[in-house]
Amino acid sequence: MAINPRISEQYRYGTTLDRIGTVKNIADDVNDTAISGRKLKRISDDPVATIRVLRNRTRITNLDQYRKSLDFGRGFLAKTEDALTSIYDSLIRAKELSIQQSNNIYDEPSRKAVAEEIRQILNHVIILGNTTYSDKYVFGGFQTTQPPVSPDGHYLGDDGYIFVQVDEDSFRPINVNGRTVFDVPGGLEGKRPPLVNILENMYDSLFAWDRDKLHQSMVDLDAAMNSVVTATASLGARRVALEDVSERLDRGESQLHSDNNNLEGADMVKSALDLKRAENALNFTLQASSKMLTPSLLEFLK
Amino acid sequence: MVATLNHILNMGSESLQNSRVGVDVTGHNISNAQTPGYSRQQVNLETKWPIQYGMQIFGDGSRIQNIRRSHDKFIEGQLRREVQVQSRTETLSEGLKKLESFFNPDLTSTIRDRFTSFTNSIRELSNYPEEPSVRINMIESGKGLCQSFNSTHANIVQVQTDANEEIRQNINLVNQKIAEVAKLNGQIREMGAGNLSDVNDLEDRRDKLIKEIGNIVDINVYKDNNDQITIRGPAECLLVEGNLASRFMMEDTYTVNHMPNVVVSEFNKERYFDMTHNIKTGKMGALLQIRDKYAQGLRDEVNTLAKGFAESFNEIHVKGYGINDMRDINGRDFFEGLDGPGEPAQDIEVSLGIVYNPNAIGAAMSTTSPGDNVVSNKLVKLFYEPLYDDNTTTITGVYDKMISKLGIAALKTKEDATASQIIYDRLKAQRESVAGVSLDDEAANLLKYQHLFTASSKVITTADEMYKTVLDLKR
Repeated sequence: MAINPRISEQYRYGTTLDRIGTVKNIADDVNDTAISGRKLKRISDDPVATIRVLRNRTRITNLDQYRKSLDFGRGFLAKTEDALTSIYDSLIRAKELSIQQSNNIYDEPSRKAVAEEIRQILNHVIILGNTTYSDKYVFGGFQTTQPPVSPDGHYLGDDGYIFVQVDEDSFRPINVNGRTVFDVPGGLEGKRPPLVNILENMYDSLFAWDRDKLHQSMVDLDAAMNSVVTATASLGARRVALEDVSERLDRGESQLHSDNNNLEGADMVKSALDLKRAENALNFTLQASSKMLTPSLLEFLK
Repeated sequence: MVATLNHILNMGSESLQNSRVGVDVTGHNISNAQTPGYSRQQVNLETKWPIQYGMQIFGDGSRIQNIRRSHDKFIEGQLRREVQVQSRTETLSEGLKKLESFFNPDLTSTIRDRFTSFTNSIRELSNYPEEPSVRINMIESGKGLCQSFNSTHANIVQVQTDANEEIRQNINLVNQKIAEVAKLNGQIREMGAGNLSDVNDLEDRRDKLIKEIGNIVDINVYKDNNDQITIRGPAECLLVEGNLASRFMMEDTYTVNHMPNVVVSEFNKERYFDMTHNIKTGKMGALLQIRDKYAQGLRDEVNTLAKGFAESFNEIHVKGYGINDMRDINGRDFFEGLDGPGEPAQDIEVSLGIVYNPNAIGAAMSTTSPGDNVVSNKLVKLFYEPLYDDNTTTITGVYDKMISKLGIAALKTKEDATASQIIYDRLKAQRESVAGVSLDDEAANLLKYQHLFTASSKVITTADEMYKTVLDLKR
């Protein structure tokens, strides 16, 4: 440009409009940010931050689902543990009764009465074996829609382990293999009968006095009680682990929210100041423009 | 003869004539002060050839050499080149803004959001595979995911269709302008022949039209000695030569997926040259890039994403058994529509058999096991295992790469457009400072020529009085 460029009419009007347009654009953008509270309005505003924001959002949504799964898992484990504890208590009672009977000579009516109690315990164990949580039978493996323990002591479930996802890449098993408690676990076939049959034998041996049979069933009962203890212990450990996961999820979530806020949220104080500044700039530009578009020499010629 | 009263009278009246021309031209400038593309015109006066008489050399007054427009050819050339860049980056920036708006971070129903809800519905299925309501929920989430693919695909196709429409309109526009430039070439040659002045107004008009053509398509401009302008277009094809004009044309669209080519017919002969890949700048260049590079690329990527995801999902799902009446049936695909007739993202849908009977969702690894969730757990793992791109990227990673490529392109183009706008505005200001009309200047000119008129008329009246004096010499 020349040192003193000529200012033509089109230049005057053109640049005045351009300048006003520019200031209005800035004011518009600042307004938009203040109203929406977001400084990240499109991907091109900050492509890298956009990806981080989207990933955080997915993670936050997933957290809700993980919590649901955790609650389900914890409830399932708790119910199973309760059932196993009750079963154990019943078996202890059965053991007491059988020790009494084997040590002392009781007469037949009292033996028959004890036999009846054993029968009650047997029925109770069957009912406990068919515990449900959220309409799922807890001891049946994958056969969750039908009772796993039949009235004559057969285990009708399968060996499925139900895994539940409680965090990224973290699948936890939540059930106990009912076969170890109610049936004969692998490797011990023939060594002892299933639990219900043990109690059945005990009942028989008391109803029609058979000392050897009683002793045998007492030995078998001990073995069965061991299985119950083992199962309960593993459950307890799993429950504690799930509590841990739950706390970790909670701690992580607030970090995600604040991360997202920093990336996409607009700083309200800065927005307010920007608004004020943009308003002032617009006012001044309009005033200055009106002075610039003032008369030319023509109006001073007579 | 010089120094006669006649000579003085002649000089005075010629000067009057000149000053009238001056005011005329000034009036022309003033009335065109706001006409876009107008170059102010100046009267160039020069002294007439001096006359030798006796022992003296006498001046003979002034005459108009020419009326010339103030015009800087160099700046005009720069403007012509810059307008192509400016309109290309502006159009491209707007097109990319539209494309990226389908994936904005404040939307809640994008493909990515639906992936998340679909994944979580499968997690819930793992918890309760026996529950019909949970299965129905998973089907609904799956449908939602398919819908987001369908609508994203449709939106991208719409951008391409709109681009085609705009290209068509621009072709009509540019054909009109090319024809007008050819006509102006002819008129300038006729009017300019034998005249000393340039045909200023027609040349202004021609320059403006050429810039407008450059706004739309690539051009190169050549001027010859006869003030004729030759315009060569993309790949140096001839658009205007003398008063002959070529035409652009666009093929008709045959199918929904057909992207018609843009062709040039030189001087209306029946031969058509395919220019689609040679148009690189201007609005048409940008629209073609949006249509064939950015939108098409995005469309291909969305299709690959849909197909790749659905195929890996189906691969696992076919292993799963259903429940109840479907308890010993497996081998069902969950997603269908991947093999045509349309494109995968366009046609993807949840298999109708599964929609009809949710029991058919294969969550179990073995038959007749209602609580079995082994297959559904495997399906969940699909979403965060790196299975794509040579086992380096997860499914959402592929989506993220796609949109961040788009966002970065949009950002870069925005910056290019701003930079180009600044350069273009500066060039326009430079042109204005040379060719623009300033009312102050013209007001001064008015004064100048008016005084000249007054003074010249004074010369005439003085000569007139001298005449009277001479006539009065003899009574």
